[in-house]
Amino acid sequence: MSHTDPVILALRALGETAGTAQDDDHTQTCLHCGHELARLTEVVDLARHAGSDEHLEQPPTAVWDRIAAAVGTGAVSSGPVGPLETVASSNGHQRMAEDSGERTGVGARRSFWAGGRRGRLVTVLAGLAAGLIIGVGATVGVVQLTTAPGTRVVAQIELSPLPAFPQWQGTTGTAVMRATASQQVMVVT
Amino acid sequence: MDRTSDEDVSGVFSKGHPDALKLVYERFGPLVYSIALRSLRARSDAEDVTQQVFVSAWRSRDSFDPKRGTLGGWLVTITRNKVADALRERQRQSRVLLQVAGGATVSASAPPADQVVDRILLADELAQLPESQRLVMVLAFYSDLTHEQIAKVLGLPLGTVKSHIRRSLQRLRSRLEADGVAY
Repeated sequence: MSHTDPVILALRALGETAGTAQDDDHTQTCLHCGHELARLTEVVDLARHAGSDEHLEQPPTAVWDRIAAAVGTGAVSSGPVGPLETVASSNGHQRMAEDSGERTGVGARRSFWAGGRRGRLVTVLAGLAAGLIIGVGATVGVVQLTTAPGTRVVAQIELSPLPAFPQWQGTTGTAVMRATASQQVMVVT
Repeated sequence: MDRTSDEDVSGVFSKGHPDALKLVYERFGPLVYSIALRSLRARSDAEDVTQQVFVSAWRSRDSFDPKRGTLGGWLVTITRNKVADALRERQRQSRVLLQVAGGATVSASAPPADQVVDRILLADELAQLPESQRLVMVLAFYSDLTHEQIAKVLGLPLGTVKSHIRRSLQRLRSRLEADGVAY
């Protein structure tokens, strides 16, 4: 016998009673039609499970601006590497620029920092504040940062001096790890 | 935009045309952003991942081979990798700070669920359907109407509704087979 009408398979996948008893018999015994019905039913289940509120969201327009800045010719220049490098050491954009063999210079950083949410970077501290030494092996950068919207606090800890630094006894501080998906900064105060 | 247009976008992209990235972003930006947003649940992280995906795709466009898969599927793969990176990074940060705080353990972050990707792909493909087909499918999926009732509600011939349902379901299935993860 010929295969089941694809329209009947589609309607059955949607849960409708379509076709005849003969179609029932056929889809239950024919590997091809049984497989077709199962695959279409999976599509319907997936759609219904997602619900009608499953919709696509438009990224904010600033995202395209950042992409254009990152790949545009104006985004890369060959200049001296300044102190901001340390801050961006775990930064995805920077990493990709390095991967592709391009040297990311001052101009690139300026346009990147100015264009993004992280344009609020104020000062890079030369060393750890107040001699507080903490055992963080993966510290990305030590920066002073204004409270930037769009970053979130991953963790926060109160600091106190190690016994090996008696001259700092009585000093206290706070370390706050702020993060976005591509960059992390530790703020020590 | 129909299937042919997707192929056109893919074509200009792999040739490295200067405007291609913008075209690709306009077509697939919402898909990438939605997968990232649904997986990471933080807008700033999803924006960062979206940026990384398109910058990375552009820089490695030579490695995209249209003969081996669709551009959409390639971008979904990059997105999943970047999302996984972002989740790992979150976990690493939490671990580092908690170690400093006294060695507490951190539970693993879940990788982006495959079903999340497939559901958003489905929403993306539904959005690509011509208006009347999309309407028929939305009613077929999410209302209790039978195809006869849908025909009456929309004032369409029964044969047209049947044809829309068959073709649209097959199209959604093809998209999932090409670009999907769990399907």
